[in-house]
Amino acid sequence: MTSAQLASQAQALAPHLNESQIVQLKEACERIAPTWPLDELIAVNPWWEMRHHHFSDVSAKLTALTQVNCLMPKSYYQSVWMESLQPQHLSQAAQEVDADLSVESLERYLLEDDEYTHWHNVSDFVDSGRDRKYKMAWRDEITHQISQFCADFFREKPLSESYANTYQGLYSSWLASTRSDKGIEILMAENGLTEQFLDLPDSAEDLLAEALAGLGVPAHQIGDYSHALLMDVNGWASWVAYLKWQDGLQQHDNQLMLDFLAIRMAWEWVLWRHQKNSDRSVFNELKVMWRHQLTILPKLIETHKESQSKAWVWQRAAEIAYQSQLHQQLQHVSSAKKTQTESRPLLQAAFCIDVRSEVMRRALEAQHPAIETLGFAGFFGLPIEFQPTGSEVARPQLPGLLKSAIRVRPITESTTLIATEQKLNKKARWIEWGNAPPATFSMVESVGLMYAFKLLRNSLFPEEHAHPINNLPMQDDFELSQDGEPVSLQQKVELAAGILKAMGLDQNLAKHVMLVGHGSSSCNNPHAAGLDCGACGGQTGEVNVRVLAYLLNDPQVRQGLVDQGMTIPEDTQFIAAMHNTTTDEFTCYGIDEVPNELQSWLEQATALARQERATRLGLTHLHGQALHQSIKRRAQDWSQVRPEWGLSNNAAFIVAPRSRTRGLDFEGRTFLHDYDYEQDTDNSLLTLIMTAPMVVTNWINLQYYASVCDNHIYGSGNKVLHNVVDGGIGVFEGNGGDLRIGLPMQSLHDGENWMHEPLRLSVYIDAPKEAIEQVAKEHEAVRNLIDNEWLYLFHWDRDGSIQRLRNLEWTDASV
Amino acid sequence: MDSQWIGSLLLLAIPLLFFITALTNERRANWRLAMNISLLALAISVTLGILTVMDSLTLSKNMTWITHSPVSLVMLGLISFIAFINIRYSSAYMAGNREEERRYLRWLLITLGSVTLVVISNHMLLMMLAWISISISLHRLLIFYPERQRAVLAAHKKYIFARLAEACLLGGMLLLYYQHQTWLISDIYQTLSAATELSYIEQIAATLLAMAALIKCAQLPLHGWLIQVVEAPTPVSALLHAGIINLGGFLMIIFAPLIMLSNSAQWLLLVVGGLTTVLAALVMMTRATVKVRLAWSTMSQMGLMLVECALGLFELALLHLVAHSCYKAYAFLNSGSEVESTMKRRLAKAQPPTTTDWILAGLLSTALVIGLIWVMNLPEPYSPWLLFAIALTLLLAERKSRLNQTSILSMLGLAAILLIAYSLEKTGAHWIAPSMTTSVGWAGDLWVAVLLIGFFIGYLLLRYHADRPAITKVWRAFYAGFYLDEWVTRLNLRIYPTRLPVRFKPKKLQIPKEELIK
Repeated sequence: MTSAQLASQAQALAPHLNESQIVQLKEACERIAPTWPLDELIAVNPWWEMRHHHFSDVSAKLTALTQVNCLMPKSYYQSVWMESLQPQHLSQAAQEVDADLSVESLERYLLEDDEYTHWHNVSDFVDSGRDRKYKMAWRDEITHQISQFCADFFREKPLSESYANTYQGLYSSWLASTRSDKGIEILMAENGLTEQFLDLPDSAEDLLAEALAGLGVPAHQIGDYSHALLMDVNGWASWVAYLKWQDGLQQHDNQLMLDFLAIRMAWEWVLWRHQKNSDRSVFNELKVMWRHQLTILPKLIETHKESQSKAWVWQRAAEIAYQSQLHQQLQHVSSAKKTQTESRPLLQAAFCIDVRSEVMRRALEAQHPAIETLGFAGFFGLPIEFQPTGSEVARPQLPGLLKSAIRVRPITESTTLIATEQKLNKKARWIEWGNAPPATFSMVESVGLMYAFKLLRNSLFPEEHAHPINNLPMQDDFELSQDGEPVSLQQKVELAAGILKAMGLDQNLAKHVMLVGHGSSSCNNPHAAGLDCGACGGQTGEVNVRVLAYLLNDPQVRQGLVDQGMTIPEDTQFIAAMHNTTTDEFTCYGIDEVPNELQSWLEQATALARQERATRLGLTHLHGQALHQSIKRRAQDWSQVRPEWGLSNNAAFIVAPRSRTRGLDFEGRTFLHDYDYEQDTDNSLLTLIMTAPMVVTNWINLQYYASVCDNHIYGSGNKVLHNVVDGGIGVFEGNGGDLRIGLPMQSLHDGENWMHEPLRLSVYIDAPKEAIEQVAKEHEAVRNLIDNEWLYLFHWDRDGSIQRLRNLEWTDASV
Repeated sequence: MDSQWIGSLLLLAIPLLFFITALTNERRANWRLAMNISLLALAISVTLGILTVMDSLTLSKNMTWITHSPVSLVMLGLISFIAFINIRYSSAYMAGNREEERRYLRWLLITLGSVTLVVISNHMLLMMLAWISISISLHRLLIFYPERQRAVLAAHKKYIFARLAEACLLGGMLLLYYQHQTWLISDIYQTLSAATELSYIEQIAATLLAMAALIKCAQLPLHGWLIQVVEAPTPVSALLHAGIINLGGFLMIIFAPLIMLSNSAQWLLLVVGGLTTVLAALVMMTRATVKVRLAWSTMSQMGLMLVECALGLFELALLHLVAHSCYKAYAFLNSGSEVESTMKRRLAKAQPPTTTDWILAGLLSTALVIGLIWVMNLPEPYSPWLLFAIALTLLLAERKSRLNQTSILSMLGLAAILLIAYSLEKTGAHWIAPSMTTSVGWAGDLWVAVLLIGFFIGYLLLRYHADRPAITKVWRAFYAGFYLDEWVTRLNLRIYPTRLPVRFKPKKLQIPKEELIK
């Protein structure tokens, strides 16, 4: 035999992945969206990586493969039917799909039983043959085993270059630890199982090749099968996707997901072979069922698609119900076109686009007609990361889609700096000492009784919540650096000019211009960062507004702006401020004394906003000071699992000048972004809005949507069971199971009713149709979102008419 | 009617009020009433405590089955306090669904009533009954979400172990009754305090009681349930870890003279408790989630408490019991702050100490502890002091972050304060539960000392040399908890199977006929 023949024979013995298999596997590995760690928790659209398919196709496939619900159950539509959802909405929705679809048949659908079978992984099949009274179920045990392994493996480690590098050997570590793990065999009462792991190939690629060949999965079904496997451990898969995302921002290659998939696939392969060796008759049946299932998979997905089609009509009807009421509001005001006031406003306040700002902006504007507010992404365009005083670590303060470019460090006196460093060291060492095993006993015996006082204090006399980083000393003086070099004046001027122009604050500036960031305050809440500013990377916006005010108040920067043709009036002062969304309080920075008038406006606005917020908190019986106290206590209460309702009930995103929406009550359900196309001749701002804030709002909207529709897969379950993993990767519900991502039930549900109505985002843009079309054409992600109905995109004309864009075609949507 | 009567009645009122309040939650959870009851219980135990201390109250001759002993009053105060904190915390934490609130509060109150009844009973059968009642009502809380498979499995395991512990307890109590012809614990206590030797039957009784305590305190290898019941809501874990699991220690304290005369009971506690202390604490290091770490930590703390009992240091065991309860209740209720606690540690990352640091720290803390022993002329056993010296060594050595270090002098000052606080508290506790002389003597002390040194070495290896291949293997074994629980679980399902709830959204395990697929 020639060496070539020998080689080919060896190849036949140990299968290798061929080109098309690799393509399929990699494609499947791309389907999972990332999840951010708890201290940088931001909202993610869990279907983001599948945006190039239509929502209903993704839904059908996910349901067929893993029983995920992308729609509400029938009982939900039953509950809203004839209440918020009226027959005219339903018939309109039916018309859009199929003119023959009657309201009656849709009503009947809500009563019909239409459960279909689902795809079964090998482990699901094996479970069906197990005696569940005496043995544990495989499916849960596998998820548990992988989850426990990952919790240990993905511990925080010193980062070497990239995450791919830091966590390399994911599969081989799993294999090594599983081979030595006697526990599974013991627990599952399966003798001879451990040997199966010894025979597994040592590399992820070889394992995948061997398993796919052994299970006889045809190339075109590898993608879906892999997807079904990944969804069994979706939480950890999302974490792996996050590591990949972060590496992607730094342009590093990351193939950890293939390793991760190999782990799950290895289980399938082991069970398959174990079954073959241990119970031949069951295996024979399994084999035939498995083969049959592979052939019917495309049909299965089709069936689910068809069965869901009516549910989509119901979902669409619910959205129409909301939209028609909103359209009425929008059309009505637009007919009375506002006259642009040329006189100088008394106060300008720029807020984040967040839905919680809408309530506050309305309240503030109500104080005086000459108060203007505007909406902008809450990181205010500053691509920064923040390094707090006395520490060497930095955290990003910008949307997760972007990579930070500038590092900000507060300038502090050296005495404060050293004192802070010492304080931080003492605190950290004390925590570690109390938790170090040999010291923990003596800690308990010497200072354990002190905890009785802590228990009492937290229960009866709680203190204001002090965030470990945000409460470090900071003055309004910052050092900005890029790649270790200080940022030059020229760069600062350019940054400032760009931001002012984008915000439309390059002319007619008031004496006081407030830059309002937002943050929340809650205690003992692992998901606290999720209530902070998503545009600031799950942090409060404090650093961003203070840095921006520092830049814009800098006389040198202002001089530089004049050279760019942008004059800021001499007496204009930029005031950094924070809006606490839990208590609806304002804090101003960098100003010795807030002018009386401004102060009273702020106070009255906060009272007004708080009163509006009280309804949803169930505190309508309280008013004024009593309400304020009650909400403040809530924010300090360590046992409070519903400190605020966050962004729940968000439903629309309006991109237009504020003058057009001023005075309208959007009930805190809309994101508001200021935009005037007349000032944007080259469409650069519109492009920015549609590619960044619109995507962010879509992420938030679908995170809420997904967490409500399927809290088991896309939500993090019950807060009273949460158990933080490795200080912040995520939470487990209880002792184990998969890593839980998304929103907890307590953020969505008050125990009796949903507090979030799952609706896809309706986006309204006041810009020429051609311009909107142009941006959609040029940006694939934007077009995907629109055409595949991950959101609705409407053109809101200056004459009030509303038209919907889809597949680059416009249809009238006015009521 | 004399004052003793009133005291006994007041004590008895506490569990009764808890039970009655449990019945008032039929329409909606009455949190406020429950909170007031727990406050009242606290007030009663504190008042009676003060009266007992002032010696104006002695055990009533008429209601002998209720005890006013200082240890019981301390326990009662502790449990009432934890109950108050717990109910107040739960009222917001568990709020939402009315049906769930009612069910939760009902079983919480019954559990609390049972626990308080255990600590005030002087009659062995009453205690036995209350003990069973704790386990049954706690079971309802552990499977508060009955659809959670792992919660049910863990609670099922706990259920079996609880029966086992009760069997041991009952066996021990019956033997004691047979020997002494009395059901009253105080009588047995007095008789045995004067005794110098145990009968054969009493030896068995002591061993059975020690076994009951070990099982109750979730010592190896019957520990799995304690780790897995973090499947229950946080306040349930807090209550379990702060107010229930330590009853094993309480049992040893009220039967102290019996344990002190039994070599086998002492060795049982020393070996099982000692090994659990060390192994569980090291396992804790390897665990990744906050609640599971806390659960392993409880196991090891309970282990140490039992070891302290076996060394005759009942004052230390009591101090440990109370201090640990407060600490663990806080740690559990505050476990949502783990993210921020991690932030604090990341802000000032630790710098590993140099060899010089270790030597200096070791010398200084040893000097400090030996100095105290020498000055105060403290008696045996010395192993608890060794543990304290190790803890102080850690405090002094691991004092640096990457950017900053705290001066050794200020750390030394802190060490001295901790040592003084510890000594004072120990002396204070001595007054309530005096230490006694053991029958195993120095051998037990030596065994514990050897364990502790091994413990220290194990810590250093796992903490600073985790990337060595050999240690990686050890780490894995620790992370897996030595597979002990897997064996127990399997055995459990074999001996006494249970039908576990079907997982959330079970897949339909049938391929449909072709015509059913449209």
